[in-house]
Amino acid sequence: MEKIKLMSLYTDFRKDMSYIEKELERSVQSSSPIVRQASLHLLKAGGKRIRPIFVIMAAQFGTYSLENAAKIAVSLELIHMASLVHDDVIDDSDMRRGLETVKAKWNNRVAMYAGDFIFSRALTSIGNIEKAPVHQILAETMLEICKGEIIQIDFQQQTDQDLRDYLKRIKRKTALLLSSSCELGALSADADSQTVRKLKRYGYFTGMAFQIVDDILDITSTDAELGKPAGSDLLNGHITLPVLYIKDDEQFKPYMKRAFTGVMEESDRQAMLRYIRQSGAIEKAQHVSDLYLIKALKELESLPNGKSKKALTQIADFIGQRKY
Amino acid sequence: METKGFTDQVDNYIHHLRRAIYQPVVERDVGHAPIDRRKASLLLLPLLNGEQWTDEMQTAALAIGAIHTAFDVHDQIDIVDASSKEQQLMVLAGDHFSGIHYKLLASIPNFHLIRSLSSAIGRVNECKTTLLQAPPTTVEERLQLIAEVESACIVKFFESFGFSRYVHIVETVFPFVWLLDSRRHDLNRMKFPHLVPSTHETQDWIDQLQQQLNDRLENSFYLHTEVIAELQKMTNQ
Repeated sequence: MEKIKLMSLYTDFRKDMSYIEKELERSVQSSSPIVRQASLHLLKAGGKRIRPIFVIMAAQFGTYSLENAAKIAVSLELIHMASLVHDDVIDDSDMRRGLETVKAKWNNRVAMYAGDFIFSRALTSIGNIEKAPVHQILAETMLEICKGEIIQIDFQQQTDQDLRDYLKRIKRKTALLLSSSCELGALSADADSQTVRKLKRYGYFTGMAFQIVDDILDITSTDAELGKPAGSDLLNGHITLPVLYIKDDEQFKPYMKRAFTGVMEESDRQAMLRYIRQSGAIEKAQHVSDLYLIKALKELESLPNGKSKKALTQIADFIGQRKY
Repeated sequence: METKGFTDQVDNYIHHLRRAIYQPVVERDVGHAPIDRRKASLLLLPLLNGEQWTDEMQTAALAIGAIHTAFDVHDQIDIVDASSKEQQLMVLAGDHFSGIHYKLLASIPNFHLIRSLSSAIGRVNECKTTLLQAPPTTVEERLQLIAEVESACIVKFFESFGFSRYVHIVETVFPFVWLLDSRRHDLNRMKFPHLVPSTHETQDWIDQLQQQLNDRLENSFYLHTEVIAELQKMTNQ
């Protein structure tokens, strides 16, 4: 139901998104049947396509060309997909979006090669945009995302983290790519520098909120809704915002210690999730997300009215209320 | 050019490549990234042979070195279990090196090379997947795929900068040294050790490729004798 609701915000851009979907599928065609199957496997599993839609919407604030915007949109979605394929190797995850992961269906090495293949296709797509800043921004973004993941591994199971550490981590993990989606979309359409800056900041703030909500949902959703076990972040040793708020609670500490082993009795996992849900930590995290969304909406205020501004506003509202 | 000059130039390149791909956490927990000296030497073949070498070529060569290092690190990911911190960081180290390759190309900026290299990177990963999961039955086809895996990016680099006449050399040397490594049982250094042919077949192919390389070197009038000597040293049985 929620998925339909997000897609309904894309209504005005349905034709453009359909074109991008076809381009995504075309991009991962391969002469190797296994690479093709592995790449299409994740693509067909769907996803919110929030990066492509941000590119399309941001490009509307300049001289819009679907062809140019699509090259960037496809590239960003493929980079996101490639990182997911590799993340599943790192997290030893067997399920994503309710489907077997590439590493589970084949093996770790195929997942590495499929991820690298998808990454190459991302560069093929954006390589057709002959604007140096576009490439420099994207390259920096990719390196920062990677740095964020390296730091996340380095911080695994470390309980002496603070809010600042968490915010820096989710900035790199999610906000930067959404921020770059808006920035590159606007740049591809030669929007003026003020508009580019506002859209970039909008993408950053919504990205921060998006990840905080994602981290909340990892605790509040059911396994079926997530397509993987709830509480996976903690089981993988990652301290998210709700957990940050109760990590020093004496009654919670034993749960966290057991979660860090990666294996918990089912009843113990459920008890841990209930404990977090009832602690007030979820509400505190939601409040931080709301603050980011207010900032995001503020960036849109001075932009010209139109279907794109309206949809960006609705997406920010949706992120605050999303349930999956 | 003297051998000392070759060594210095390759050392200098590796030093710059190490600096370009440096990542403190990876360096601390996983150690130095593997940089294949042989591959670096073949990439630098035009420079070692005295061709004009611009700053743009140097940056592009570093980009190729970064992507080669990414490939090599990702080839070391355990097929079944990559859950240790070291393996997790190696996955990300490879992604970091890939990102560095793109950043270097974007800094030039060379759009043509971004496009042609991306197609080569795609092809390399297709070939590696085929060799891993569904290898061809004949040794000839396998060697052809191995040659592509090792040389595809270098070939694009040569073609981009007008060094196409060096392509046939690298395309012959790579499968040749793969076979030599297999004969020396240098399995740690090797990619796809499971595809090594029988001892008898290996020797036949070594002889055949040796002949092919000798013919090519003989016909490469533009190669300095010192460069030929270096290549012969690299492929010395």
